[in-house]
Amino acid sequence: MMDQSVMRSPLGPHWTPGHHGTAAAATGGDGGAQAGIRALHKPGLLVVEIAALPGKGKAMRAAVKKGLKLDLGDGSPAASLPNAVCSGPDRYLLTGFDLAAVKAAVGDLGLAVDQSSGRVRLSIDGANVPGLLAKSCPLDLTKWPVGMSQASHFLHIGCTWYRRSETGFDLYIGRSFARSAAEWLIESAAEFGVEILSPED
Amino acid sequence: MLIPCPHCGLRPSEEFVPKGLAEAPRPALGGRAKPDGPAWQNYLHLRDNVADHNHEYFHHALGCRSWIVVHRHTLTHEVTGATMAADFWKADKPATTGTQDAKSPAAETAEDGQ
Ligand SMILES: [Zn+2]
Repeated sequence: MMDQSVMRSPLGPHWTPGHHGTAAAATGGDGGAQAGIRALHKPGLLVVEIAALPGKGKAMRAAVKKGLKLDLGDGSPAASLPNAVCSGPDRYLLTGFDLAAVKAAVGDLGLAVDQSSGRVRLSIDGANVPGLLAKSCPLDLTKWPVGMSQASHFLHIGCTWYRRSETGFDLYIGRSFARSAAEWLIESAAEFGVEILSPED
Repeated sequence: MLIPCPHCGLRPSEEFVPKGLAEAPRPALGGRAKPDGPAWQNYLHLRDNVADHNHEYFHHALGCRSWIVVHRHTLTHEVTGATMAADFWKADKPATTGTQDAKSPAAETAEDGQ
């Protein structure tokens, strides 16, 4: 089962759990060596993109709050949630909800489209994430507040960024670009050492 | 060159695809849904080509994927603001996004592109 999911991974054959690149760049709190970047991809993630019809943004957010218990605030990209990131004006990528539940919540205030096989989410974390971002994204994401999300690019591949924590970011990438993005990520993070986590971790 | 997307803020121009002048909307179609008369000739072929401020459509393709109207001076390339295209033709246009800190980092950003 596990082997099959690796074989089918949209991230290609180089994305294998374990250590890649230089032996150790950062040192953990316990004095032990630790990879500067940790990266995770969980296959099988449910992704639904919703977009409000013109003028219905506020009403759609209220409906999403009621139906899915997601508080998207005033619609600012800085009010994104780990499972509901803003990908454009009045547009969100929801993760972990099935399409029927989202459609029921959104009703006729907006459109909902299943993107589970269209988008891949990569999560990165670690002490050297700012160093990786410096050469991979034209925006200074380290200046973002935690909870912010916006679309830009990762190594010239269009993606939606979400700042999950101080050093943790999620990237949502089109599936057919994901293999290229994964290979670039491994290469770019090699100088820091990158630990690809197993999806079970 | 930096473009102030109303949703995303200041972004390098490489994230955008230009489309052309944001001019008056298409004229109405003539009889039997055919383009009709000089209104269509003018719409298709005549451009003012101003040496002044103008308004142009841009698609934020590597960003929020919105269509916006950018206000740019054709001689200096100075960008004075941008509006959501959906709002541009409304009578009560919202305030355009500004470019207060847009001027000096432009060259630097272009270098960073590679
Ligand atoms: Zn934008």
